[in-house]
Amino acid sequence: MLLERSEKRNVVTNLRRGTSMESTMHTEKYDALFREYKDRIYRLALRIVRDSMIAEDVVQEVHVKCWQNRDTLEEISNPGAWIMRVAKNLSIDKLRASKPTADLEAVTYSIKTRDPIPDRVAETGNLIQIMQKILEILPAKQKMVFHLREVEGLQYKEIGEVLEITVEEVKINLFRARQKIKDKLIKIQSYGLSRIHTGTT
Amino acid sequence: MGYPESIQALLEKYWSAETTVEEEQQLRAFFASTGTGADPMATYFSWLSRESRIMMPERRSGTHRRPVAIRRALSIAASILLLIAAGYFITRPIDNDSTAIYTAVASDTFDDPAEAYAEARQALLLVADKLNRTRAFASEQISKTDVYTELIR
Repeated sequence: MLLERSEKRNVVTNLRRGTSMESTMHTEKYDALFREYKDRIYRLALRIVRDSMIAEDVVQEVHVKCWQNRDTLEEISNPGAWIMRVAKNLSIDKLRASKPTADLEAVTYSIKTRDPIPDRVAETGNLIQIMQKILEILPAKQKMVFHLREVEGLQYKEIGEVLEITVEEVKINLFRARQKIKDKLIKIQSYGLSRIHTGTT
Repeated sequence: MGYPESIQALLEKYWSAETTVEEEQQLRAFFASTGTGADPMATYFSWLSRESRIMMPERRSGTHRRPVAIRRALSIAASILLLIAAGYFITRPIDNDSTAIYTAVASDTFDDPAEAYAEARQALLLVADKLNRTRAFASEQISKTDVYTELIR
């Protein structure tokens, strides 16, 4: 098949650059995919490692892995889930490196900061702090399922692909995570109401 | 808190992990319209929306983060330099200018034991007073967190 002049020019240019046209297309697709997922990778990594600098490192390392696999991205049925899975695994590796004795299925994080006095728990800012801390003490799998559903809006099947678990396991973990949060919210709500009813300050 | 029946029903489904993504978006839209106020549910959904808007910080042009391996190498190099410097200062020979310092230190003693005892006692009482105040403050702060700790247990 004869190439048009412009196509020939592209081939020659790419050969001079040491890449093929096909590889260039892969690179462009990879670039677009990575740009789309960059912030999601960062948020997931931040949820796991709880450190902005380390989360940024995870993003860079995912970037490298995606680059190394750019030619095979088309063969992957769900490249988005693949990228998030890579991000999850890298984040867990970094977490293990910083906490080598942590049991990731039952890890809990100590509350490091001094917390607000009880009669201010209804204040929005403090309640958000409490929500962050409740999330911190969830087991790792529940926390990741919660994040991927509540923050990233993924379907159960997609969450299962990222975390390499079944849809049933996704539902169970999400149910447990939400039940814990519901219990705390009700407790906070009733605590605030009881303070109002008793007139205490 | 009194919510419309439809929202109440959706909430029941939500906590049982039976809602679809679209139904969860309905809940968020409802609570976004009510405002957070003193409603923990509204604050919860508002917080979730905020979390999904977090973006990776953009680095300003001209600022460059060194890769992790280089940062580690620099910190190790800094530690080694510190040890070398400390070793030099510890092992260097004492020169004549330093004898003045030693003389000054040596002169800061008491000839009278009673005087020395009184001075030491005074110093220890001062330290004890500071420690007691710190302990009282810490106890007060710790007691304030008891209810909070109970809430999140």
